[in-house]
Amino acid sequence: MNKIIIILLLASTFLVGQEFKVEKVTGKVLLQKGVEENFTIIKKGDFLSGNDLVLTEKNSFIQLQKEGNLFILNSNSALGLSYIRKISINDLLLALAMEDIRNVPKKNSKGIEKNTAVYGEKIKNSSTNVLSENRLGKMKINGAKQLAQSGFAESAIIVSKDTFRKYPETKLNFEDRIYFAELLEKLNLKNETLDEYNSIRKLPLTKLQKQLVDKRVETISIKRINE
Amino acid sequence: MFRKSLLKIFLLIQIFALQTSAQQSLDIYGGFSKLMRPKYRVNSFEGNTMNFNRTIDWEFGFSGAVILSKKRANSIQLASVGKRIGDHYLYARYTPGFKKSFALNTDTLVTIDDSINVLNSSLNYSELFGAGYSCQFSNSFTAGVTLRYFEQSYSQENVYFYFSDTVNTLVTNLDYWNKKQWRGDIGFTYQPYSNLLFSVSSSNLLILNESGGFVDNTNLELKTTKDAIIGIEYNPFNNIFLFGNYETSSSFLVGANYSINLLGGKLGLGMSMFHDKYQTPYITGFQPAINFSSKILSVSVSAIYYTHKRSNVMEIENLLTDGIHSITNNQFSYSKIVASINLSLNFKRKQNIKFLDVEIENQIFPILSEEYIGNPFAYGKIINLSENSIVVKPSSYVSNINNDVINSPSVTVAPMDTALIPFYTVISRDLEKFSNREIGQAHFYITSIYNENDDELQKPILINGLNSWNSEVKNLRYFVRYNFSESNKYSKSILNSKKLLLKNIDEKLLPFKQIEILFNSFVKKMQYVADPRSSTEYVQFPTETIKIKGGDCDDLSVAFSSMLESIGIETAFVDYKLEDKISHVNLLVNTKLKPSEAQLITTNDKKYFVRKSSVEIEEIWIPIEMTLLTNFNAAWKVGAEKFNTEAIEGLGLVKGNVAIYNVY
Repeated sequence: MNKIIIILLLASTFLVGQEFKVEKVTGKVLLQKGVEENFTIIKKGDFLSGNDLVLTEKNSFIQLQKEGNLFILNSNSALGLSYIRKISINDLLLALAMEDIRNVPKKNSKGIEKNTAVYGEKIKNSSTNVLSENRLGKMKINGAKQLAQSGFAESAIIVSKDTFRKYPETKLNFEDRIYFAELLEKLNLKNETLDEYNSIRKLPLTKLQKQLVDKRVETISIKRINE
Repeated sequence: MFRKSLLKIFLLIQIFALQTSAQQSLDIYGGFSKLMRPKYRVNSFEGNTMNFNRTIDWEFGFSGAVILSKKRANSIQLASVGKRIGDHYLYARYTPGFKKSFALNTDTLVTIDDSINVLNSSLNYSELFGAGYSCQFSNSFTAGVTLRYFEQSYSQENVYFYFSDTVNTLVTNLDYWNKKQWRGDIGFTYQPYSNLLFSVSSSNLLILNESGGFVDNTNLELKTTKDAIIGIEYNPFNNIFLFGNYETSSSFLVGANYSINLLGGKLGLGMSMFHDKYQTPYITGFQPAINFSSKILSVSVSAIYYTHKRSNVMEIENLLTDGIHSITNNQFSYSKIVASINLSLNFKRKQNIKFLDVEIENQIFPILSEEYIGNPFAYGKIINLSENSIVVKPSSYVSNINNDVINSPSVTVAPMDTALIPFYTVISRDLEKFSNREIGQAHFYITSIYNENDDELQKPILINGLNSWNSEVKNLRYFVRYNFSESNKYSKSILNSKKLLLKNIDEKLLPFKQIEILFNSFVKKMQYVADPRSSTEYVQFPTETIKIKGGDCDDLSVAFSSMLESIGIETAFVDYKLEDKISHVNLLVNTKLKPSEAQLITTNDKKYFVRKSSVEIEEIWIPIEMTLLTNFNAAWKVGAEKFNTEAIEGLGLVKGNVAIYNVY
């Protein structure tokens, strides 16, 4: 009977997909499960799923263990645990290609005209408080950089792209943008690197920053021609 | 007193000898390959027992010959008429020049009343007329039969004595024998490739004697040895054609043609040589020929040159031993020149384009009427039968859906090439009238130069009822748009009932709140019901779902999408393609919030999807599971979880497992 209970417990552990074990926690580290809205505090010995998001507040860190491998997330960082994995170059290219699919196609003038009436009374000059989105975005970029430093450059690029899109303030940070563009360059993805530098060019840059980007674009373009 | 000296016949004087062909298969027209695809008759029964012909309608032929003997003679050889009726071809010819006469001089002298008379004999052969029929069973196979009528006569002067008591009388009398017979033959052609043709035909297969015979002189009758003639024709290069016929009696003919385009017509040159078992030397003769054909007529001049010189007076020995096997080509024939003219009268227009087949790609789904404007409902495989590039105009008419013939875009087809042409249609009947499935008739037409149709083809087509759907999620949008005003009224009535609540909502959040209110109000009344007919083929219109208060995921997604779109909120269908090819459908809804405003609605960025609008503005879209009929937050959460796992992290959007189709 005890054996059956143990087997059931092991099976249930496997089924809920607890992939990461919390080895060490310092300070305030929060957990957001799947698509839940609320956050909970993580304690040492907890098991975390690949769908979870981990946030480390100021002066805190967390050490996770999965299949004997350790991963440390330092303070002021946020990371979806599903990204702590090796992604192939092919999958990275597919993920980058998803950018185009996200766009809503150009409107076709044919067909029934859409009703654009708005029902309900509009409230003008609303002073609803919007929470600062930039902080979470910045934390995610920090998390992505730590992914890259741990050898998951492909995952880090995907996280950065997602973060730049969802937290638009983050994509204005020149250093961060250059950091991830260089990651692409290191992976020898010349076309994607050029696209990224061209996107950075459109930011409000200083003269020096602009020169730096132009030089990088020129270097990669020459390399591409010589191939 | 008389003196009689009876000697054997030893001389034969050939007084008239015209011919059309050497051995059995030498042709009056000069021998041209069938692979040249001539539009006129370029060979007659002798070289074409199977009656193979590409004449389009009526054709009238006339041939005359100049005999190159010491005593030149001219003769009308042949007059013919041919007519094509579809794949059948009929041909008849009158052959006054196909005859051969011999005057036989004997050494029998009769003296009567001091006058000396020579007893003469004469021998006549003629082919009077013939008829042929052939049928083209396919592009590569033709079979045909021919029937010819022959007459032959032999007359001989003889001396008769009459004895009586008072006087003995000596009288010369002319004895006469004749024979009439029919000869029937069959032939086949097989063309496995455009540059290779085989033929096989018979010679003297069926002999039907109508009357008579030469009694004691049967050796002078026309020989009717049965033969088979095997032919091969090959086109190794563009304008070069090689051909050969072998007769089982050991005669043969080989030749070559060269063809070029000239003055809007075609010029053909030919040269062949032949061996006739019953003639000497081994290469019995040559036949050079030239032919020019234009749109309405074809002119041929051919010569038959015998390598062994013939004289007017020849010994009769081999007539008695070998006999005459062919009236038109035998050991007594002279070299000659034959000129022929064939006139083509086309009372029906030439077919330039032909249907090989039409494949109906899709059944007709009336609700998808807009789709048919840009997507073909059928493809026709056609062939250009002409020698020029042709612009083909396809059109179609489908009973029950079209009021008139619908033209599809023109396509240019290269000479003798096949092409796949698309057929488009427009549904012009009122949609309400498509209540049930029905079988309609699709008429397909192709036209080339003229306004008449070159070819047409008819096929049955399934026309579905208005609620039928072809299982492509992108096409659910047509159901969303149907009866839009009713969805608008329904949404408006719900929102009006929540006026006070909406009054205090931040403007930015208004679309999101409207989505939430409409969803909660909509699902409260709904029940998930799997479609008993077939969930992939039948979709309810929004008004029907609202009325019957239930439906499957397609019905509920369509209804809620219609409610939102009718008040200006953009939606898109998310198609989760499962392994069994049955899709699960969810909705993506545009909240109009910018990514920087996401925290107004959620703290979890996995619950939304950022899409760039057509005017380059990034907006937050939320996925909603339409079968979870509890409340908005639960449906959003489940929808987001599925979308995030399958579309984003699983890369379903780029791998093709998940697709997003905007309603507008």
